[in-house]
Amino acid sequence: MIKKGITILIILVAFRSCYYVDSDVYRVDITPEITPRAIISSNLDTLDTIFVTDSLLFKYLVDIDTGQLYLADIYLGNFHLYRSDTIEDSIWIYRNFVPFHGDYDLTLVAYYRTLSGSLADILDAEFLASDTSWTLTFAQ
Amino acid sequence: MFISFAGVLNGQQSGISLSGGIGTYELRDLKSYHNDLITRLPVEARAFEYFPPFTNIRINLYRQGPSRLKYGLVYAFSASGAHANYTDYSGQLNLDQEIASHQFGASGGYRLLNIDSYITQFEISAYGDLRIAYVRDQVTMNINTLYYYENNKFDLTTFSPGAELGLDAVFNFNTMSLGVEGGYYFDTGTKFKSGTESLDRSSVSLIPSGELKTDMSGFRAGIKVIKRFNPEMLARQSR
Repeated sequence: MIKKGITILIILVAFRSCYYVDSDVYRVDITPEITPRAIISSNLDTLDTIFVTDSLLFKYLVDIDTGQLYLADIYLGNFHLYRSDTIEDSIWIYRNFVPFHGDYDLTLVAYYRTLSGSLADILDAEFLASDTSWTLTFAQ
Repeated sequence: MFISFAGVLNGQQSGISLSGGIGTYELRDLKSYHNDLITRLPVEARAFEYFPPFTNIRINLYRQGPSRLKYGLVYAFSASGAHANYTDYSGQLNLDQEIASHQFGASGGYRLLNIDSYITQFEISAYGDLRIAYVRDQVTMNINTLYYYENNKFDLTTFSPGAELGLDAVFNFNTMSLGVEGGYYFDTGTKFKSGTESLDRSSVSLIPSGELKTDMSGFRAGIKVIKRFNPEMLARQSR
């Protein structure tokens, strides 16, 4: 019985040698020195009511202090209208973009680098997001 | 071959021994290579292990004539590895090397001492192996973050001749023997052949900057168990 036990023990030790596994973890606490902020502005900011009768030019500027824009998405209602990777761009919005007249939100979402210094940030896989909306009134 | 070897010939004892224990490994080139890889990483990872002493097994199918000489076939397996990691709130990066060596060859032994006692015999023998090793070092780097995932693998392989010399001390019972075994394995150190990376575009290249050699030389030690196929020969041979 003892011999069998020792034999099994030896086999287990031998079997263990087939696998080298090490899962030690070196955990780093990241303390970002700065948190970039994005300020989104457009040519529609000064208008109280924004009508779209035939077409409307939308110009935007994403101003990020010490940051880097990844991309900006523009939505009309829930419909994704446009994607850009520049901080300043423009698009034309036409009346036929929506099926019915009425008010629709034009939303710009800007995704930009966190500058946190984390692994994901270094690999351009971490972002902060800011968004701003304008209400457009589409005519009949 | 196994059946032939295991067969009982008149006046010859045969058996199989299995030893399991620990081995040390030089692996200087691979240690430098691991350091080199760490410097290529996008973050400052910490290295935890550089091919530490790790378990080692040796299986010997032998035959022993009336003389003190023993000869046979041997298989040995050695493994070790290296590990580095970086973890923060956004994800983790692991850099691993796993080296495994399968060694086949011929073995010879010579009984140096034999002491009979009431229920057992105590025996000390010297052994030597000539082996050819298939060595494979698998390098893996994986990055896991929420929006980015990467798992790059790279293989280094070669055949490398080597030899092991050592001693074993066992207590012989009727059909079994138990004891310890230890020796030194000398690896001639053959150049690795590089494979290809599993990823075409990786954030970190795993290709070595220079040539790498196996260098698995080191001490081996372990406990040993022997199963004899014809135990009746033991008493005759011990005289």
